[in-house]
Amino acid sequence: MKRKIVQLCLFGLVWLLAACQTAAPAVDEADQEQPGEVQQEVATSEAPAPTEAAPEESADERSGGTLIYALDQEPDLLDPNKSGIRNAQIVFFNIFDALIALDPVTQEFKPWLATSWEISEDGRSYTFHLRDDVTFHDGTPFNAEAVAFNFERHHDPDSPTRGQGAIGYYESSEVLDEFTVRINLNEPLAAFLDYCSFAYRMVSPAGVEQFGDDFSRNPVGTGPFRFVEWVANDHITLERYEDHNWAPETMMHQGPAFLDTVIFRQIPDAGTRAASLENGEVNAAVMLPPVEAERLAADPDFQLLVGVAPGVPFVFALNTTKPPTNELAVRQAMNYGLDREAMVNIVFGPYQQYDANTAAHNILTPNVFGYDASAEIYDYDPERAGQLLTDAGWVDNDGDGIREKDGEPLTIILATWEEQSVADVAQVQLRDIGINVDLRVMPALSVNELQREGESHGSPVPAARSDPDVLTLFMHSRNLGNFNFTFMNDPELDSMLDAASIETDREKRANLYSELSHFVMEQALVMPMYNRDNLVVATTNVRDMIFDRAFFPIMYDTWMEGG
Amino acid sequence: MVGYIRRRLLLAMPTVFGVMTFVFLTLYLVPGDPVTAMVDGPISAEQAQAIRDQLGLDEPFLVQYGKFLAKAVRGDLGRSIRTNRPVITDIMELLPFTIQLSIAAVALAVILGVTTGVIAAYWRNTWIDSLSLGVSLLGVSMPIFWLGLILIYIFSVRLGWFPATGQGSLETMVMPAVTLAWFAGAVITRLVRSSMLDVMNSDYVIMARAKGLNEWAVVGRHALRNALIPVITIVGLQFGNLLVGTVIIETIFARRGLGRFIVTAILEKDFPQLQGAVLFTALFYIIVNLLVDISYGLFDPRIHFGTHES
Repeated sequence: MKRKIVQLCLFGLVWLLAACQTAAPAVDEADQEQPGEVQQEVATSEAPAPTEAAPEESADERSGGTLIYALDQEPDLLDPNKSGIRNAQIVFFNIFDALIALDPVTQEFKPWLATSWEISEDGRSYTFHLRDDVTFHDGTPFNAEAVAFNFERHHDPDSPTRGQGAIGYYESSEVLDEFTVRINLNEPLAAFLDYCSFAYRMVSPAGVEQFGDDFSRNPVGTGPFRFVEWVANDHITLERYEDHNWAPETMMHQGPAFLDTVIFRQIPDAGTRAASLENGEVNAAVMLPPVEAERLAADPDFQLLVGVAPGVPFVFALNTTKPPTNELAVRQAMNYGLDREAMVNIVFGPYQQYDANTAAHNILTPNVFGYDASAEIYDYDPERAGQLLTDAGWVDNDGDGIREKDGEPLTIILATWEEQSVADVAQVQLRDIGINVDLRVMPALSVNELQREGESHGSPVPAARSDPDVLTLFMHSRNLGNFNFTFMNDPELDSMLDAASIETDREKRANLYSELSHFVMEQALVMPMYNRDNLVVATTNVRDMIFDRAFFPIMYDTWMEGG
Repeated sequence: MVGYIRRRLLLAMPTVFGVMTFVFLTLYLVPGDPVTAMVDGPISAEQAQAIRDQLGLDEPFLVQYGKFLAKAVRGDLGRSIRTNRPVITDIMELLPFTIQLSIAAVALAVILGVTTGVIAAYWRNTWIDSLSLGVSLLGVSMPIFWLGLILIYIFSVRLGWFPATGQGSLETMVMPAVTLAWFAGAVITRLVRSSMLDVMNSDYVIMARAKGLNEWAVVGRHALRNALIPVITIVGLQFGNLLVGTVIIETIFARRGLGRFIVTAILEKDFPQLQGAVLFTALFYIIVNLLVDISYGLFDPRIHFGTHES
C-alpha cells in the first residue's frame, strides 16, 4: 500500500515538472564587435557625424528588428503638451518631433521641423519657417496652424502642463501664412529656444480633436515611430512610421527609422529588471543597481551606456532661515566637512571606473551652459570646518563628540528618499567634525513636504534640465512655499536670477551664471554631492542607440545586429 | 440561508463606507504634495498652483471627499489625477489578473497543503513527516520577495524554464503562484496534520477500519472531511494575507494587477485611483469571507444559517 502511494506521488511530480517545462528563451549570443566596452555618452562630447550617408545596401540591411526597452515606472501621459515625467518623455520623444534640434558638439540649434527662424529686436517674438513636406501619423499635414495649436494647448490655462516650457512668459501665437508662425512672449526668455528643441513637441490637432481627453493614450505625432498600443501597467508598443523623412542633420541618417518595432515594458523591481535582461526578455534596462550593472558590463554580451544628466547635480538644498543652518559658518563647515570623492567611491564604487556618478562640487553639472569650475571652492578640509564652527561658538563641551552652543547641540535634520545612500555617508563624515545629522529616509513626496514645512534643514533638489534657468526654482523668492527649499528671500539674488533668465547674449548670460554659481557656493546655499548619471545596460546587438544631451534614448538611428 | 446572505451583504455597506473614509482621510493627512509625483524635479510656484487648481487639490477634505462620493454612487469613480484615465477602466482591466493569481495561489496552497498534511499525518514520525514539516517551516520563514527573486534567479535566469515577468499564460503563473502559495500552504500543512491526527484516533475511524473499509475510504472519505473544517477557516484568513502578498508578487514579477496599482496610487497620492482600488478590494474581501462562511455548511451538516422560522 505504502509503495503504491509513493509511486503515485513520484509519477505526479514528474508529470507536473514535464508540463511546466517550456522552451527556454536563449540570451542573444550575437556576434560581438566590441567586447563589453563601455560607451561613454557624456552629453557634450562626440556628436554623431551629421549626414554620414551609409551606402544604400547597408541601410537596408540594418532595417528590421524589435527593441524591447525596460523602464522602471510607467509613463503617465503620452502627451508632450501635458506630461513632464522622464519615463513618459523616453517613450514619446520617439513619437513627437520638435521645431529645432540642439547640436551637442557646437551647442548650436539646427533645423528640424522648422527650417529657419528669426528673433525680434526686443527678444520677445520668434518667427519660425516650417518644412512643407511633413505629415502626422494620421495623414494630416503639419503646418503653422498646427504649431500655433500646440503652443496654445501647451499653455492652456484650464489644463496646465506638468512639463517644461515658457510658463508665465508665453503670450500668443500668430499664423502668418501656411508655413510661417510667430510665437510671442511677454518678456524675453533666454531658455526659449532650448525649450523649442526639447520640451515643445508637435501633436496632431486632428488627433486631439478625435480623441479629446484620451489623446494621451492615443498619441499622434510626426516622429519616426507611431503609436500602436498601450497595455496599462505592462507595455507600450511603437512601430516604424514609413513616411518619416525629416530628421535633423544631427542624426546619423535620413529617411525612416531602422527598427520595425520598439516595445517599452514596465518592470518595477530592479532585480527582476536585471534578470529579464539576462534571460533575453528585454534588450535594454534602465537603473540597475551598481553591482548588477558592473557585473553585466564585464560580460561580453552586454554594454553599459552612461550619460550625465545636465542641470543641477544631486545637491541638498539648505534651509537658510532655520537654525543652525541659518548660520553661514555652519553651512560652509558642512561643505568643507564632506569628502565627496570617498563618498561616491563607497556608494557608487563600481561606477567610478566609467566616470559615472562622480563627485559634484558645484551647483551645476559640467555639461550644462553656464557651468563655472572656478565656483568649486570646497575641498575636503575637516580642520577648516572645525575652525569655522569653533569660531562661530560651536564647541564640544561635554565630550560626546557633538558640538554645542548655548546649551543646544548641533543637530541637522536631513531628509532623503534614497536608502543606503550618500546621505548615510555624509552623516558619518559630518559626525567627525562634531555635527549630529538626524537622517530621515522617506518617500519623495514626504521629503519635499518636510522641507517645505521647515521641519528639515536639508533635502535633495536634483534637477535634470538642459538650461540653467532651473536655478530660479529653488532660490527665487517667488517660489517660496513651492520648491524654494533654500528659503532664500533676497532681492539681490532675485534680480540676478531674473537678469540671467532674460539675457539672450550667450556670453553675457554665461557671465551671469558664473556670478550666480559663485554666489550660491560662497553662501553655501546647497551641499553638492554627486553628478547623477543615467545608466542603461543593453545587449551588445543593440547598435547606435544614441543618447541626447539629457540622456534620452533616440531610437531613430538604432538598429539590431543579427536582425 | 438566503436571509443570512442578505443580512451579511447589508452589513457590508457600512463596512465598505467606513474603510473608504478612513483610507481617504489617512491619505489626505499624510504629508506630501501629489504634484511632486507628476513632474520631473522642481517646478515654479505658478505652474504648481495651476496644476493644483485644475485638480482641486487645495479644496478641504470634506469637499473633495463629498465630490468623490457624489460621483461614486452614480458609478463614476473619477479619473486618475496622474494619467487622466478613468479609474473604473483601470480597475476592470487589472482586477482579473489579481483574482487569477489569488485563486491560483489559494488552489495551490490548499492542494499542496492538504496533500502534504495528510501524508505527514499518515506517516507521522517518519522521515516523510520530518521532510514535509521542514519544507513548511521554510515556507513560513522566508520573506516572499526574497523567495520570488530566488525563484527567478534559479528557474528563469539559470535554467530558463519560466519567464521572469508577464501574465496571461500558464508559464508566467507558476513562479508567482508558488511564491504566494508557499506560506499559506505551509500553515495549512501543519493544521491538516494535527487535525488529521486528532481525527484518526477518534471512534468512528476505528469503527470504519473495524468494518473492513480500505485505507483510501477511511482516510479520504471519513477522516479528511472532518479534518478540513478548521482548514476552511484558515484559508479564509490566509486570503487576506494573499491579497497583501499579491502587492509584492506583482511588483517582483512585473505582473499587471490591482496590488501594484494600489502601491503606486499611495506613493503618488493619486486619490481617485486609491479610492477606487480600496472600494473593490474591500468588496472582494467581504465576498470571500461570505463564501468561506457559507462553505462551512457544505462540510458540516451540523451548521445551518438563519432562523428556523424563515
